[in-house]
Amino acid sequence: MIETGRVRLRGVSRSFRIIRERNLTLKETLLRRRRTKLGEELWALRDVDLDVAPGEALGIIGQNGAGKSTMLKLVAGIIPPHGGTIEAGGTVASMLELGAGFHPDFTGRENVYMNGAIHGLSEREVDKRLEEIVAFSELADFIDMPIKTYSSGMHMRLAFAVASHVSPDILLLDEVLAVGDAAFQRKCYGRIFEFRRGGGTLLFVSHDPGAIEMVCDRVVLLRDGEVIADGPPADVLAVYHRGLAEAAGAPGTAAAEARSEGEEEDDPRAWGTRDVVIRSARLVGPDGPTQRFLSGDPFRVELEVEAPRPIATPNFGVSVHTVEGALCYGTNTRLDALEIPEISGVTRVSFDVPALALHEGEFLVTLAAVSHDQSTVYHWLDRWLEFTVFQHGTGLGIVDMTGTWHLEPQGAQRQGAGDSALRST
Amino acid sequence: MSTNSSALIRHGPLFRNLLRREVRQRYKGSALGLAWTLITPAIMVGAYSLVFHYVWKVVNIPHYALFLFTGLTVWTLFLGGSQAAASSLVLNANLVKKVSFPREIVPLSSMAGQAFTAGTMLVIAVPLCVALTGGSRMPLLALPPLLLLLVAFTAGFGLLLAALNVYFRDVEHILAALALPWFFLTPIFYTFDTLPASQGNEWAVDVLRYGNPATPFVESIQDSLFFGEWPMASEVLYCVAAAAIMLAVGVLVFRRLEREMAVEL
Repeated sequence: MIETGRVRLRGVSRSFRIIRERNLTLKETLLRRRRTKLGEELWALRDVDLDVAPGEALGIIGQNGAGKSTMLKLVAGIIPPHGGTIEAGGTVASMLELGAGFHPDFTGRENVYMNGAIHGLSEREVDKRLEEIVAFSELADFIDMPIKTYSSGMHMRLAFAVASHVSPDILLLDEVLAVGDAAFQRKCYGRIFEFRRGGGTLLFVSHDPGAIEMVCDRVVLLRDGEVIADGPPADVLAVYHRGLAEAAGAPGTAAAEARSEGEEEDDPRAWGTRDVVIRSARLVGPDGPTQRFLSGDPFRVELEVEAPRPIATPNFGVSVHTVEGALCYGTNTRLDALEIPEISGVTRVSFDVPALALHEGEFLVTLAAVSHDQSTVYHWLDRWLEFTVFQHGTGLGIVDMTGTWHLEPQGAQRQGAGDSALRST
Repeated sequence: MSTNSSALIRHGPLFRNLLRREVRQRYKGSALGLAWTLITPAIMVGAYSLVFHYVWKVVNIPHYALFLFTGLTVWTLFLGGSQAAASSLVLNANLVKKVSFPREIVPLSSMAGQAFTAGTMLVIAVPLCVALTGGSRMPLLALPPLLLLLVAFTAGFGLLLAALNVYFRDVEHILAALALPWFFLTPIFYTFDTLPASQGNEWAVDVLRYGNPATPFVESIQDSLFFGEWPMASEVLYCVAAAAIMLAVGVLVFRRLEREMAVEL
């Protein structure tokens, strides 16, 4: 038995026949028997080996017809392979289409139960999740109306809400977030990130490199049914962007072209006297180094600095900006009254934030080593690190100000009833 | 096989939801709703009684309306179920193409929806037969096993048709075209005894009786329920054999064709 959350493909092939007309009638089939060939064969996947570790988020990119959706359908078990073996450990939920099986004449609530059943949930399991699903979809006022009265955005919200509350071991997503308004899309990414935080394995097909880079920590590039690149998102996306023509090398070669993070020779974002050098910098989340955080996560900046000669009273600074350039927060060791008499050799410096107060968006981190009075810049790395924050609850914006609403009627017809409190999470 | 049945059990909620949808969507938005389950057969009973019992006077069976009603109950279960199954996968193509689950659930839930209608009719037919018709009541004991055999036969036939219809859409149309002549050839609004041409043509009756697999089911159920007689042993044996063979064929063909359904739909 394969480990829960692991996906293993060995020599998997799958072909389709291209038939001019899709559905043959009985007569056509009988007549055709005498003819030799039934359309052409198209190999959607050819001898694919793939391993996805438990908890990994694998992005699958490639042009139309490269075999992306076929791969998901094979892993989901919707179609069988023509060769090779496919194993998936634990429960698999697929969102190849949002709201598969939704019926327009039934209410939102009825469709939630139906859709839950499609994903293998019993009525009781749906009961338990119903409140959460409705809250997530933001459709509380419409849940008892037939979904034919819903807009396509509402439809999508309900469908994603159900599918994302199934909590499978392995989740397959096919391009499903392309619809819906931007705010809800971000909420969906937040939800996906929470799923990953819970240890779930994700296979994510998208045409949107931005989405892939945001969600996944590994990407495979498919072309004509074969894996032609496999590695960290930035590398594989680079291959994808460069045009697929000359990238036909063996799988894995793309990963070798490591991104030159930290190599700042000619980088205009780095300057300074280099009396103190920031040799490396990284962001650390609750599960180790990462570029992705959930709102409210512990957040830590770790630096390794080196002073070739002893330097007295240095000052280290960190600031966080939005990608548009607005300063969210900045501080340094002097402002925070950390006394550093002198450093020499290699020193580790870290800055800990117990709970990240950012709500949602992409952010940049500037790092600095300066003199005590800030007259000399030893080393300045401007907007050096990037990270993404996924929202945890409701609300909009970059800063997390989750709060509580209170309503206190002050009018003449006061009923004497207590306040009604509404929490906004 | 064992993995297949465990998968079926795991998808019990899906079956229940599909069945509920099947029953409810049929009458959703209609003013009389579930009452149509009984209105439709009642109107048919009225029409056939009028034509064959009162106008033409060709069939002379006491409590003719009730006789027709019990026959229609069996027919609703069998042919209604088969027709519902035949088109079920095509109607639910969206589900089959996008989600993985044992595909049998779709035709089986459609058939269960028809069984619900037939069951409602049966709930009315049984006490009426007990109250109105003569004969012994002991043969009623044969009714549950006979119904079970009919359900098995229908399930096999429905699975077969559903699977074939994915590949050849003509199947459901052929079945629709055959429904009426088949109904006429099955002793539902008459009995072979009441046919004027049956005297002296026993061999022709046997051809009609055993050449049409629906007939032994209808006759033996009519015997035990309406006429209060034990069904003919030969017909019961026929039912057992037909149910076993049809179920086996249906399941085997369905298993064979199931794998590629998502591609063919």
